[in-house]
Parts: sequence; structure tokens; C-alpha cells
Amino acid sequence: MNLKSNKLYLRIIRYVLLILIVISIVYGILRGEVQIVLRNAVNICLDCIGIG
Amino acid sequence: MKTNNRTGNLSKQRKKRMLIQAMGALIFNGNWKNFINGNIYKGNLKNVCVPVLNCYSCPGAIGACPIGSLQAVNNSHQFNFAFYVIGLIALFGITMGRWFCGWLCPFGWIQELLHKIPLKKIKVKPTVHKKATRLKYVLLILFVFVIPFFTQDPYGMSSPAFCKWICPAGTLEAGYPLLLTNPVLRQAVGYIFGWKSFLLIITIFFSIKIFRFFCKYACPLGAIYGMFNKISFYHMECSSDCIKCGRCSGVCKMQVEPYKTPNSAECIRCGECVEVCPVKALKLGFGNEKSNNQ
Ligand code: SF4
Ligand code: SF4
Repeated sequence: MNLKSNKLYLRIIRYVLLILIVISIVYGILRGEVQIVLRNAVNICLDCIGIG
Repeated sequence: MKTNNRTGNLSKQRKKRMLIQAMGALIFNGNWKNFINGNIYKGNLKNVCVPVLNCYSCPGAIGACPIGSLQAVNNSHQFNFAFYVIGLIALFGITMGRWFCGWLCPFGWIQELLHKIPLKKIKVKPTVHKKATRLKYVLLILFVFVIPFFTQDPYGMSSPAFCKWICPAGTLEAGYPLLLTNPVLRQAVGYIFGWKSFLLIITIFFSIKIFRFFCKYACPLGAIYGMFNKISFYHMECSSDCIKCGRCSGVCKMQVEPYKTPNSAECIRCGECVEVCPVKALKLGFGNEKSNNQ
């Protein structure tokens, strides 16, 4: 495969992945994952500090 | 003359990076007063993960740690897969790859500062180094995904194994500052804290001896971003002007050979190789220049 088509594939992969990533983030937000992130981040994580 | 110019540029690039790293560490941990009162920030910014390994229980942390959040959602009783957090990490990865490691990560910066301590350095043989870099993928799979999955209780919950048993960033950024200022937490210290302190000492010792010891061999976030280096929008290209002199490989502290593998998973995009190339064959950016390698 030549360099030009390699680059084209790479660009397509990048954009397809970007779309999937955005869908994944939006889906996660819609089903309420953000609240779990927040809940964990605003309470001292005993596991993180080594006394869990 | 030419060499002097290059050296000047190189130190300028290094200085610029150090400055941005320091700013990153201060901004991501901007609630300084919490270091005194022994508490953590509880505001809405913590809805979002920062793009670096920065413990969310660090008193100053303004955002959520991506690796901690990933485990928190995966190990919650509501969900088994963290679409939001994995999506965010992948978004950071696909845009910039390991640039975040090189330019913004506070724990990466701390390791670089430790490496400045003038003690004899260890040169890791390329073959040993290559094998050892795989450890971070093992830690990612085992401690971030597999162990938490197989240790779930009947409600589908489990501990964040990487945070609990490994993460030296958590011990340094959250454990010690909180235990020093919070007597209630101090009473709860047990053998896990001893184990994590031991790992922290090992990390500090080897970071003095080996450039970014933890980033190279143990960081799960670095492992994920590294996989994106090959396809991220921000990437490196080596043009056909390359004369294969090997100067780029000579300056690379991450033991990459940029003219052979410009998008190696180990490259933290510091840009020092780009600066020393005598024919300006290496380019870092979002562009689409002519090149030999990807
Ligand atoms: S490898 Fe991990 S600790 Fe190192 S700079 Fe990257 S995110 Fe930070
Ligand atoms: S390959 Fe270049 S940009 Fe990447 S870590 Fe090495 S010196 Fe820095």
C-alpha cells in the first residue's frame, strides 16, 4: 500500500474514532455516569490515600 | 555556531516545557488552602476528568482523576462499563496522545524534578527497557479492569485496585498531605498505607536514577495514551530529508528512536528531538507533511 492511501486510512480511522468517542461520552452522560464520577471525586477516597 | 544555536533552542524548549508543567501542576491542584485545612475540593468541576494522573483526593485537586474515575464507574453497582470516562480518556488520547504526559502531568513533572537530583543515573539496556515498558499494560489490564471485576461483591461493587494497591501519585498527592493535616484519618492508618509508602519510596528512588521511571514502566494512563500515539491528530512525522544521523535518538530520554518510530507509544512529545535534528526532518504537529514513517 502506498504512503498516500496509508495516510488516507489513518485520517478516516481518526475521524471514525472521534465520532465513536463523542457518542460514548454523550451516552455515558445521558445514563448518569457523571454523578458517580462526581460522588467519588468529592469524597475523600480512602483507597487512594492508602487506608481503605 | 550552528551547534550553539541548537543548544540554545533546546534549553529554551526545555524551559518552556518546565514552565508549562509547573503551571499544569498548580492549576490542576489550585485549591491551595485545602492543603492547610486537610480537606478536599467538592465543587462541580469534579464532574470532569483532568487529562493527567492527578489524584482526586489530593487536597488541591480541582478535577477528577481519569484512572480513579474509570474504576469508580466500572465498580459501581449501577454500571459495568464507564462510557463517559473511557470516552473522555480516548478523546484526550486521540487529540494529543502522550503530549499530556510530557507537558501537563503533575506526577510526570515531579519525576522529572527528582531526576535532576545529581546522583548516579542508571542506563537501562534497550532490550530490558523494551520488555519493562510492557509492565504498564499488565498493570492497566490487571489492576484497573480484571481484579476489580473479579472481586465484585453481590451488589456489583469492588475497590479500585490500582488506587488501593499501586498508585504512588495517590500516596504522594493525597495520602501524605491529608494524613499530615487530618488527625481523624491518621488514626485509621494500617498496613496498606505501609505498602503504598514502600511503593512510593521505590518510585522516588528509581525516578532519581531513571528518567520518568513510573511513566515508562507503570502508569496505566500513559499506557492508554501511548496506544493513541500512533493515530492521534497531534503526531510526529519524519520526512525523507532524514540523514539517519541518530542525534534525535541520542537526546531522547524516553529511549525512543524518533527517526525510526516517530509515533512510538513511549514518546511524550517533549519535542527535544525535533530541536536537535540538523536537517529539520522531524515535525511535531497536526499537519500532514510528506514523510517516510508514521
Ligand atoms: S505516564 Fe502517567 S504519570 Fe507519567 S506523565 Fe503520563 S499520565 Fe502522568
Ligand atoms: S521521541 Fe522526541 S519528542 Fe518523543 S520523547 Fe523522545 S525526544 Fe521527546
